[in-house]
Amino acid sequence: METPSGEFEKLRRLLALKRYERPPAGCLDDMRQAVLARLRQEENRQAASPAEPRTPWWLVIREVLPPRPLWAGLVGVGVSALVIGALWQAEQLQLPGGLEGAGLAPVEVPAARPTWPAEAPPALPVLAQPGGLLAATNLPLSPARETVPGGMPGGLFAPPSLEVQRASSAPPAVQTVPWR
Amino acid sequence: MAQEPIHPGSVSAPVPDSHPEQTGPPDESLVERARQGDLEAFDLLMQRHQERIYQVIYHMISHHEDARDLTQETFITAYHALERFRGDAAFGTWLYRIAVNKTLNFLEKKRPERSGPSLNDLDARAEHDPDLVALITEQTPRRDVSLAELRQKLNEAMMKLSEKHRLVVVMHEVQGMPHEEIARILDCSVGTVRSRLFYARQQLQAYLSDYL
Repeated sequence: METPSGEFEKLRRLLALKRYERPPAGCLDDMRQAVLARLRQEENRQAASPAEPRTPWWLVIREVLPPRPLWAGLVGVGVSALVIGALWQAEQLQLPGGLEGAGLAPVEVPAARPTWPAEAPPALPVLAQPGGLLAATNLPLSPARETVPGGMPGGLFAPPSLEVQRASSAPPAVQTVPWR
Repeated sequence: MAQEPIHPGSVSAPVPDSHPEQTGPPDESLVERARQGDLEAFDLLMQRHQERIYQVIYHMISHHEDARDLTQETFITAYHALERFRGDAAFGTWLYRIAVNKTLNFLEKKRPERSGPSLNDLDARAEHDPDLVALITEQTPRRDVSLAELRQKLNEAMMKLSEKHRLVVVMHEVQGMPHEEIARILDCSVGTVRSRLFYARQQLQAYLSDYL
């Protein structure tokens, strides 16, 4: 990116004019005295309360990163990777594999009783009951939470045992009811 | 516009020294003392660097009061951050980085407010600089351009440059810093500095074509 000699010579001579722009007389001395006074004041205040915190880390980052886009980008990528990793980990824990890894064995829950007659029409195939699959994702019930034979909850805060029909995305077997 | 007299035949005064000779203890030992709370050592450091720090800020924002405040903030920040100064670069380079960061942050916040420079303190010796006298008398005898007008046009052109281009022009053309030093301060490659400088000169050349 070198330029031919003299191409910008006049411009450079003109720019040299800016070297003569000086601060008002005494401006820098006043500024220096103001800095020293402020630093002394801060030191006195710190001596009075030594537990005063230093510059917060976010202010330091704010000062350091803007002129360094590469570093800012790397920090951004790092933070994004951490967030994505944390989300992925959380998702893994919710999967059946995650429960096995945590030592929680799936329990068998009796499938819900079908509400339709036992005999399905012969023309339609019998679909798998979703109850078994869903049961694998359930946490095992501790003995304290099991219901007592009388139907009352075993513990003070144990939920009552209710018959709940599990939702399923599989379509139920279609039953043809003869028209009466 | 007020016309300033030009004295083409007058004896020239030396150009203001942008690299004052360093006397006294080196920066490193002053930094070490300042780290231990020696404000006198830090005062010496400020005396040594204040003018160049002030100038780079001033030429970027063209406003004396703001430049003074930012210079002050730069030194206060530097004092608080002395513990983090590892000495990989020279103290002056490190100080420049702080000043540049503060200036860029300031310009980011104040961008729309200040469009014109407030240049009112030109060193009187500028009238006698042989280069400037020659530039004005050779190139603009019929236009009757004055030093003040030239200065104003130059600053208007400078303010049209983007901040990163203006920064390299100020550091290289005005303050006389080498490309390598600018690259260290801006944390970029020497090629980037040269490229920005070339582009900035082209832009300035176009803006100031009537005066060159």
